Amino acid sequence: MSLSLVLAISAGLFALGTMMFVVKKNLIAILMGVELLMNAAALNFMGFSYYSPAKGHPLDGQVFALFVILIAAAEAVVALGIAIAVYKEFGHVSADKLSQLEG
Amino acid sequence: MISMIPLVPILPLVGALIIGLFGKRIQATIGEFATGVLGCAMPGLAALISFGSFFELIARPATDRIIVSHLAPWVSVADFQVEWAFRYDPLSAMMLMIITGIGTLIHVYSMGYMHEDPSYWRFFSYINLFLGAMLLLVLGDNLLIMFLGWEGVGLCSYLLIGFWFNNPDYAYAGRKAFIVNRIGDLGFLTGMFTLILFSAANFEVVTLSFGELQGRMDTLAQYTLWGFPVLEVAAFCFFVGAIGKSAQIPLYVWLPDAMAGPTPVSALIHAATMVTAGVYMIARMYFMYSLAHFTLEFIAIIAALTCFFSATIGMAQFDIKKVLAYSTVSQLGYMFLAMGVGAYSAGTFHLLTHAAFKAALFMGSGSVIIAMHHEQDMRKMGGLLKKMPITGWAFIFATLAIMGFPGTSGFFSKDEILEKAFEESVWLWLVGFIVAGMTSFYMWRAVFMTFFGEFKGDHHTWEHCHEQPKRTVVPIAILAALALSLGFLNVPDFMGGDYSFSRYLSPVVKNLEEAQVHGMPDSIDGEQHAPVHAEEHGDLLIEVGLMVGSVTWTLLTAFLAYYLYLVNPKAREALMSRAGPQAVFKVLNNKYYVDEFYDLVVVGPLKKCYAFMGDFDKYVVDGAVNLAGYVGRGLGILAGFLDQHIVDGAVNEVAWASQTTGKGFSLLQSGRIQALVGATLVFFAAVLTVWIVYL
Repeated sequence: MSLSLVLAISAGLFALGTMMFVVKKNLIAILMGVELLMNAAALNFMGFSYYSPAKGHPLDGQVFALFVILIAAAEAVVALGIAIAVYKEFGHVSADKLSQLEG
Repeated sequence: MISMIPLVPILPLVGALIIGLFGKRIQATIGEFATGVLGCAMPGLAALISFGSFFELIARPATDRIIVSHLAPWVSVADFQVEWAFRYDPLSAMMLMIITGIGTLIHVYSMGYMHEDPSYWRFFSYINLFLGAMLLLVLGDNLLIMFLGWEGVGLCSYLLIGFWFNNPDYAYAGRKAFIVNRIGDLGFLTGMFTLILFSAANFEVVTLSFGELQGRMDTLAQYTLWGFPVLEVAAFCFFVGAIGKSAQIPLYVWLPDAMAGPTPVSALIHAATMVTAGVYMIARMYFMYSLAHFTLEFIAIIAALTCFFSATIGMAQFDIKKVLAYSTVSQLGYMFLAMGVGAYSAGTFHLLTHAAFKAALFMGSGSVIIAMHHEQDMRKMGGLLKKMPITGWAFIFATLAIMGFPGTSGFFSKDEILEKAFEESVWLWLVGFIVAGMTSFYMWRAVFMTFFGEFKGDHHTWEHCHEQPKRTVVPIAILAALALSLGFLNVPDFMGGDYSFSRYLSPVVKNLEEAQVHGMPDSIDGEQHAPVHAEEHGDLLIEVGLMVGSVTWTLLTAFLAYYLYLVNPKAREALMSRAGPQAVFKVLNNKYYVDEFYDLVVVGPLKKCYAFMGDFDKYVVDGAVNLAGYVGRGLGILAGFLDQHIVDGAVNEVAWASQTTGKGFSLLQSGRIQALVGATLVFFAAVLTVWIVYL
């Protein structure tokens, strides 16, 4: 295991998340993509913290990872709430059809 | 008590405010009596303070009798610094006692006189306001405060003359008084501006206070304005103010009409206090008048003329209040005569005695008028002494005072004026002497027509005629007693007295001759000068001769009135049936047609002028305006056309262009979130690539 391997996995996860975010039509699936993106970021923190810890503050990266998980949970709550509200309003959660903001 | 002097004008002003704001409600809920008591309370308190302070004042040494209390700054513009300051000295102390003393008596009297008037509260509010303004006038330490009071009393005079404004004649009389006074006020203002102008040119600071003015007189005396000495111009302008306020020829016409107001108003404002403001002003500024000899001569001549003409008119009036009104004008003429010959203390003393006896006469006439159910024509009265003994005797005593019966107040004051006039010029004395006789004649004529002989009205009125309640007659009786006794304040030296009144005034008012002997006093609180010695004892014979002469003459005319109006009316009717006397009487009865003359010469041309200006306005000014309007409208139509097709066109093009652009750009907003994110990614990748490749 080395830092570059961890970064590679993280980049892969990020790429997968981005693809899901851009390609998937279901709002829930898009949310799942966002979760992947956040976990990629958290993995990056973990990797840097583990392999090249900051002097005097060796746990900074880990603490950031915990914050990311916390924020991901909070974000999931809000985003799912929005998804449910959208479903109640429109009867579907398809991102393609939600184009009311079109200019 | 002296430290409370600033309260004296404030109390009646507060009273006016309270009654003015809440009086209507108080009268409606608690009653008329409460309103009246409230109205009398403030003047009563002010009178208490005035009298208390007076006794404190005379206990002080004569050199220490000027108390100036500085209250607050008022106008403060660069070097023009006027402050709220009151000046309490022997002159203002005397005026204070006249105003608050007689004022309070008249307030009490008014409670009876105005009984059952629906606007009872309004009356008390106005008359309280009047007292406040008059006290400001008298107490003010500078010309500006004096002017404030001067205008204030003018306003209250207008309000009270037109008190019963439902009657158009009364309202007209109020307006007339106001407008005629305005001419005089212009003179007062001009005089004040003249003094400010020359004072500011020579000194650092102008405060207009009397002490300061007095110290600057010598400097101002060196200047001329349009070829006249500045002091003559200023003194003349101030005298114009006095002509208006104190009803001298040619501006006296408002005073007889002012009798339209309720009688207490005539007694207080148009006899005892306000109309004497001009006399007070000259006494207050004696230092200026003593240096303005031509103006003094002018004053004396105007005064003599006023004195004479108004007395002649007074002899031919039938309205009891009109007789008293012309008598007031005539007596004011006496005062100005004294001022004009430089005998300021004599004029001021006559002011004091006149205030007492004329107020008593007016209040007596008011009592008669109420008893007669608002009948003022003396031809319908007679024999009222039996019905109204207190009023009648008070009226008779006051008449004795005004005719100058030996021992009464008028005797001392009028005699002193005549004597001073005699020293100045025999002609002035002669006019004063003749008028003294005429005064006696018309006053006794009024007494005999009103209180003696047969009653000439209808039976019903006679039955209902009765003496007035106590609150009406007691003030009259007090004033009549004062009218009899006040004269002993100033007994001349040849009669064993020592001119105590003149001596009392001498720290603040010095007669002309005295000022000349001692030179102009440098400071107002300089050392006390010797008491006024009219003449050396060699002139004793003349003084006694003049006195005996005028007493004989007034008794003679009084007897003439007695004969013509009581003993032998037939003789009078025989006399009046002839053409000559009838013509004279008609002219006098119509007051020399002065009002008609003013209408013809002043009011008529003014009206024509206004009509002309109206036509000018209508055809020339309005025509020009209308023409401009048409031109403007034509231009407007043209501009509208241009606007619609050229300006609007451009604007519309711009609007269309921005709309189209906006539509184009809005296509970017697809509303599809994933397209946006994709675009962001592509852009980000591009930036990243460029960054990696080139940096």
